[in-house]
Amino acid sequence: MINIRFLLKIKCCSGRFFLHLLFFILLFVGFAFTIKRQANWNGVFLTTSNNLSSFVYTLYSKIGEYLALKQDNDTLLNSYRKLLFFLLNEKTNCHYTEIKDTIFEVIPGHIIQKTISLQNNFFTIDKGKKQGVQPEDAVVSANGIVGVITNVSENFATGILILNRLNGVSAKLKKNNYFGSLTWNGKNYLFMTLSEIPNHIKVNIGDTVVTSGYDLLFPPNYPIGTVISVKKNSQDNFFTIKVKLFEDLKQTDNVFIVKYNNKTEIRNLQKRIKKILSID
Amino acid sequence: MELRLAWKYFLYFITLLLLQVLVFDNMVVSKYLFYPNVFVLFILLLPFELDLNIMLIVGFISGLIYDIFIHSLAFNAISFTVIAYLRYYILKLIIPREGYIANTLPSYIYYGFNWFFLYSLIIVFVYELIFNFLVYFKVSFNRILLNSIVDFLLSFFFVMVLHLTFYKNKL
Repeated sequence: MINIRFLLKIKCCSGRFFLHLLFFILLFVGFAFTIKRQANWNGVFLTTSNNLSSFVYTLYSKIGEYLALKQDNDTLLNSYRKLLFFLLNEKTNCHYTEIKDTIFEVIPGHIIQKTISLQNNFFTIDKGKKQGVQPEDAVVSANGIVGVITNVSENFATGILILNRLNGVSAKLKKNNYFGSLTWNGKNYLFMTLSEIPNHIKVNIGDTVVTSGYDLLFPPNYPIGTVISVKKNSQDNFFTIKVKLFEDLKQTDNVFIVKYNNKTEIRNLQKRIKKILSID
Repeated sequence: MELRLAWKYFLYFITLLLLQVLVFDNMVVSKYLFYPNVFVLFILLLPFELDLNIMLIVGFISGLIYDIFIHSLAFNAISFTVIAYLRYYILKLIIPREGYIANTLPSYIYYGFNWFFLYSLIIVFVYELIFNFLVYFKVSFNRILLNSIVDFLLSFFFVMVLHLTFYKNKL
């Protein structure tokens, strides 16, 4: 072992003086950075720093994001549920500055099973009676409508998708409120047919189709799809309009169950008028 | 040899920086924002023979790079420069009885646990004192002291743990 007192003979190129000078220069530069950046927040230095550190942080956050995806999804669903709640209720009683009556209630859920290849397609969701789901509640996704609940158990509920040959959905053109019935021909899950739109009005390709709310199932003005072709019928005075759905029902997973609270009240009124009309 | 050592220190720098930025900076304790700093270990382990001028510049630049990550103006650059400057005098102060041996690093494998304990204790404390002084300069004197002491305890613990667990091989 050779014992050398390194520290007593430093390989300092220009002597000790230069070392101290360098030290103070570096300190000065450091303080200059500090003071300058405090004075002017948008300095050149900050932008270069953003580029370097953001690269590492982006990489890191991508990994973290992937791991926290489930949690993020839940948060998003929850915030979307709140937004949907306010949106639906605000549209119907827009005269009030604050929402007094909750006409629509929104419950988030997941589709756990669904069919797409049958003529009458159905689905199952993981929310049931305990969470407040009832038959005839509408099921919508963030993009468009999905279906209607038919049967409810304690924790689960089943329903029929809008892709069925039994019932249509009352829909209307967003631009002029002409309403008709939206049905499925059982061929392609991406397209549905809007009929009963009179052929004297102008329908353009690309027009938006929304729910009318007249069937008391879906909330009014909820998006459905866009017009992709318009055909004039030879027998009657109506159009046959092909609508491409906004929601790709094959991959729908996160949905919202929309409860229409005034449904029974309106139904009772309508029953009464039907009675009167049938008497007359 | 020299090149190999430089390469080793480069990897060392990257590892410590990422560890600090991605792990230890997220270990913020309490509302007083205490967090451990293990990046000092890089300065602690620089070789004895390194030219002091170069050491100052290395300290300044590594501190600045760390500053860039945590957006702390140039506080780390300043405090790293100071400890890089003072390291020489601290090493001289705590010189072991048989002196420093050629081709060794300031590590516990060469000079024992007690020596390294004292060495890192002084340097980490000086670092935390200067850094917290710069950060909380406008806040209060008590805050400087409080943060220095708690940060020092955290940093010192993690520096020792990291060094003792991952630094096994001699040069």
